[in-house]
Amino acid sequence: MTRAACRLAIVLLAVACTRGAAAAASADAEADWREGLLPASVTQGEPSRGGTLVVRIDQEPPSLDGITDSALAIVWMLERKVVESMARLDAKKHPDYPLEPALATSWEISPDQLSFTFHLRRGVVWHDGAPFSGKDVVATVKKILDPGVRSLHLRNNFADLADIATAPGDDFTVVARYRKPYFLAFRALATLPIYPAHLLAQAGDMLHAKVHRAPVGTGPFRFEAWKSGDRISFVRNERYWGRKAWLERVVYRVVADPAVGFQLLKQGEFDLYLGLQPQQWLRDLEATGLKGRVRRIRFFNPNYNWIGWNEERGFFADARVRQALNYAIDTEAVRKTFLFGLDRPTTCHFYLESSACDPSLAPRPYDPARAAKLFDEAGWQDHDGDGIRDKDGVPFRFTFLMNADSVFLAKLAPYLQQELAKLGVAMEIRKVDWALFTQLVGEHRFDATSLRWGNSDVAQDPYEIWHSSQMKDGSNVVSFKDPRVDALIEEARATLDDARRNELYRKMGRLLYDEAPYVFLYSRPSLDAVRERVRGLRPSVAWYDLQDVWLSRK
Amino acid sequence: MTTTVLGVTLVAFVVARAAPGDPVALQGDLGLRAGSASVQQLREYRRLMGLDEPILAGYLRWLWHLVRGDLGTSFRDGRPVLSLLGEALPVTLLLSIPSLLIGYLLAVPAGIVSAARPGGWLDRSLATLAFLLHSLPLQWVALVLVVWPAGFPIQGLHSEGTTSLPDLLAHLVLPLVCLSYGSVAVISRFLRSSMLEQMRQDYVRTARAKGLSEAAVILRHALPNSLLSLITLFGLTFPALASGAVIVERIFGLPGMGKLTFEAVLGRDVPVVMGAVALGGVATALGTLISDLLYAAADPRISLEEGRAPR
Repeated sequence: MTRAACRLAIVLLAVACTRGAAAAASADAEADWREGLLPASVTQGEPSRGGTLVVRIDQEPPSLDGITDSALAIVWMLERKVVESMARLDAKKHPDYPLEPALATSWEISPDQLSFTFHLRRGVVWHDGAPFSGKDVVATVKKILDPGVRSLHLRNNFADLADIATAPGDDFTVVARYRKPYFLAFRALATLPIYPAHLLAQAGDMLHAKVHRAPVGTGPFRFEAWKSGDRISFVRNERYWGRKAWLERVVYRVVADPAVGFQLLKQGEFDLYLGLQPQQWLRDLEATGLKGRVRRIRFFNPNYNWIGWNEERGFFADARVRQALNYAIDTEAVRKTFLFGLDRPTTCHFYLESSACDPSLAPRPYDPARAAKLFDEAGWQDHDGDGIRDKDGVPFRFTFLMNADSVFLAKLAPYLQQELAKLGVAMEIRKVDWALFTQLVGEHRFDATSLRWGNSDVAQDPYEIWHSSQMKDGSNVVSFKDPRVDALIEEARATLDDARRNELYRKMGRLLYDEAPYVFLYSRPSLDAVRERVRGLRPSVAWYDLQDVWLSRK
Repeated sequence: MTTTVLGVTLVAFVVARAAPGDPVALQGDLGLRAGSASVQQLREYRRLMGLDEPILAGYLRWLWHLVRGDLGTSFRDGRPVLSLLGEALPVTLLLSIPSLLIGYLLAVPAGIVSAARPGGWLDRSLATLAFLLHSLPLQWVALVLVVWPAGFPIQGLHSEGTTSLPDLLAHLVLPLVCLSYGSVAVISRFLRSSMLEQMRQDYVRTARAKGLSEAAVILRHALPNSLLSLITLFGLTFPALASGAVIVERIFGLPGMGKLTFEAVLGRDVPVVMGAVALGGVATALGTLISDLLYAAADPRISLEEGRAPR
């Protein structure tokens, strides 16, 4: 009897346990769905070979040539998949992404940090069958340095390169020497996608060469076809040096219109859907019954929105005024109402999860009283009683320049105007198209503006945005000038040790926070959806590694 | 004809080059990247793109290349403009010619029927329908058609792996509906009013007086005379055949002239804009020529020979 009761108890307990586990699992699934995280089970299980992965992209890249074009779609489609670099970001080590070997098996940095030696992998072949060697690395760098080639986005990384060559008598060792130690010089060279020397030799300015639209690399996938305006496809490279890809083919379909794209997603046309609209991600997926058939992904790449005040204008020269403007904006309300709460607040110039950011710097709260006090202290008071603050007879009246296409700014700008009007600051709004906008911002012909900076790597140099020398030619468009920040940036450039450099960047972050040249706003997530059957997917700043992806047979 | 093309392209070139916004800055990419462009490098880009020369010199150079059949290469992707046009124009013609035919085939009977009994129930319901169609915004109609489960494909020209004719036709259905409904409304109302004008003329009264049936009066007397205004309309809309439809092309993913031109304008891609404008100029001139020929065919009083115009 006792034994029977005991057994019964055990059975009941087991039932309770499984019930509890099931409830916990569904709560987990619910949390994953809400946050846009992929469950661990997605990367577990036995991979199977074969199948086609169909990916939706919203815009066709101008070419498939990373040497002449910097479109993000090119980076996504090609890097790590079709073309490879000597080293690559270790996608499993979020958020600092150290380098791991790829086409190079190992490397050394000289003690003076001026010379880098890469030992290359042997037995690698290009997609066209030619063997890979250090000559390809040298040819790629030379092509980028060629003034007749449209490769500005890469060339500056090699500004201090003295010389690059293969070691005498050894085509599988590449030595690069630099004039100055620079932390990004190593990372830029190590992660530079390598192209085949024998094709570069005949490619001229690249624009008219076959490889411009039909890339040849060493990666796990090789280029198959490009039907203009429709689709670009890649197939598995059966001669890949590493573990061969599971997928047979990857097809990128260009669907520009979001409503059409979503309709096709509902019809089951895509395995991986890139770039959902916030409403689609938040509401429509669930409302149209796609929950359960697809998983939501929300991932943050290094980027942030900012509002910048042109310090060449007298209004914005005083840090107290810039802080006041920051206190005048209820960034949390803006995030919740205009951005559906999907973006994440940041006060940092670097990737929001990176060690270069100081998490103790919280966004400034909404505090109009404090803003008014700061304006007063800076001498901006309403002396003539016309409702607008003034100083030395100049009313505080400025123009906010914005890109007319921006949905977010179309909501933010009127809000800003309203909030500032309450504080006695008159703001006008000027909308221009993107081409004119970039020109005006580049020439510093604006009072205040807003933009988003983005980067494809977590490691980056704040030099061109914040160093005072970059006011003229670089991207220091707000003309921020602070000798302390300049000194920190310069020191960081020559510091190859990551921990030490991040320490310097946190100090810089503190100064930027106090000086408030920008109102740092938010980091925008990428909002994607993936079919349930897709496995092995891992979002990272290096985008998705399709080499590890397989399709579940269930 | 040459004058038309010259005038159109000169104006377009000046506007394209003088427009604010810098294709070089767009290429240089205002991004947070490890290295952005220096001023010197941007200057070098300008030289590579031919943007450093004076506008007039640039136009003459463009014209000289045009005469030799070379439209230059796109700033955006470096491909020859001629091959970009060669890819986009067939797609556009595939849409525009059938939609033009559908437009006239539906509108002409509707216009005749309306004019035959002005104020009758058929005329009034056709008028209501025409105004309804004319006021439906294209973007909205296209999106309704996309979301409506009609079973027709909503993207591209072909399904994956097939190039069969039925498949192509199925892909054309929804874009053609979008492109035709508005023109049916316009053309039918246009024809109706010009028919009614003719019906008031003396020769129509004469025809009725001599005892012709109403059908004969309308089809053999009033209609041919009304055609003249329809030909004018045709000549005016002809250039649109080659210029594409931005909204429809974008929604249904059809890489035609509209998409090409629109993106080129946004990207300040001068060679592509100029190629599209030159094509448009030729189409305009061609449209005028064709409508002149049609006038002569439709109206014996108009002669193609010089100096023999009726006194």
